[in-house]
Amino acid sequence: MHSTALAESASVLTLSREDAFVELLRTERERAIRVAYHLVGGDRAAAEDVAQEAFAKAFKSLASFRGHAKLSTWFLSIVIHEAQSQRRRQGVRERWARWVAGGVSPNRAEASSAGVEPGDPALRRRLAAALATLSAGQRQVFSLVHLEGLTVEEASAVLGRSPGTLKSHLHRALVRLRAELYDVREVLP
Amino acid sequence: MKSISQEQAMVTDAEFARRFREGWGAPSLTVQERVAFDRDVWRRVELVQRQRWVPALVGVAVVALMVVMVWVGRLRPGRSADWLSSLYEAEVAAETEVAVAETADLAGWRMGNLAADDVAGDVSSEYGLLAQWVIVARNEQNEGEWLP
Repeated sequence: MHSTALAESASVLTLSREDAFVELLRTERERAIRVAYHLVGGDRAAAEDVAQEAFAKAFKSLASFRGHAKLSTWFLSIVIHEAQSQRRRQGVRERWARWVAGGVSPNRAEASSAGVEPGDPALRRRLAAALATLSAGQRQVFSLVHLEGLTVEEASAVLGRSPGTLKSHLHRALVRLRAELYDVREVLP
Repeated sequence: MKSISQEQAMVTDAEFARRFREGWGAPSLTVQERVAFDRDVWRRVELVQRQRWVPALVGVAVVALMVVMVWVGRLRPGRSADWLSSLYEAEVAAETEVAVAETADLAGWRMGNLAADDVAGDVSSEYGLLAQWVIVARNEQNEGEWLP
């Protein structure tokens, strides 16, 4: 384990559960929301919901955390797992809604990003649609490495997969996104 | 999938990712939003804390129910004793049968080996006692008595 990871884990293990959790909330709040935001397709409300649920689960499991990994790595894996569950639930809800509505699909991107974020909503919708074409693994590694700035090794620790597999996912994700966004001038002039 | 033009391919992966990141944006919380977020997190934590007691409560309820069932059964003379003792007797009978069979096998095998090794005249008291016990056990079982 890296020395900073050891130092971080050791300092966390010396704190009470509540103190450790307050520290985790303070340091990881923004990143948890950001990562969830990438993974749930740019829906801010859903991203906050995912982040809050991840924090609640982390609190529950914090007592059993033994410092086998960096606390931030451990927590990020909870966020990713929770985002994946949220997407699955969302998929079921959408299929159910489609079935009830008689085959009319709700416009998720339109509904999720309407008037919530600064910037260009149309561009974000295109990017969200492009992200949605990636597999779950490709989306996760693209988000962690290119949007969050983790190294492939750090992403490997979070996702529990080998760096080689992640590099392969990353390459395919970039090829796919470039192809999907070939006409978007802001991304590819 | 659409092909990538030469011009597009000139944009490096890092530059593409940077532009993607800028176009995509990311939510940032105001102070009020941060306070509201933390409040919601603590609310969920409290909920999780409360839910920790649910499995324990269910366990206590199940045990209490079983105790009540046995107690109610004992209030009716003859009824609970019948099914409890019949279960017990069936279990003891099955165990006894297996024990006798295993012991007899063991004793027979050991004594057989000793005989084959031509040391039959030197059978230790241990094996002798074992053989006697098996015979007693068989007799008792035949007579319908339980082994101790």
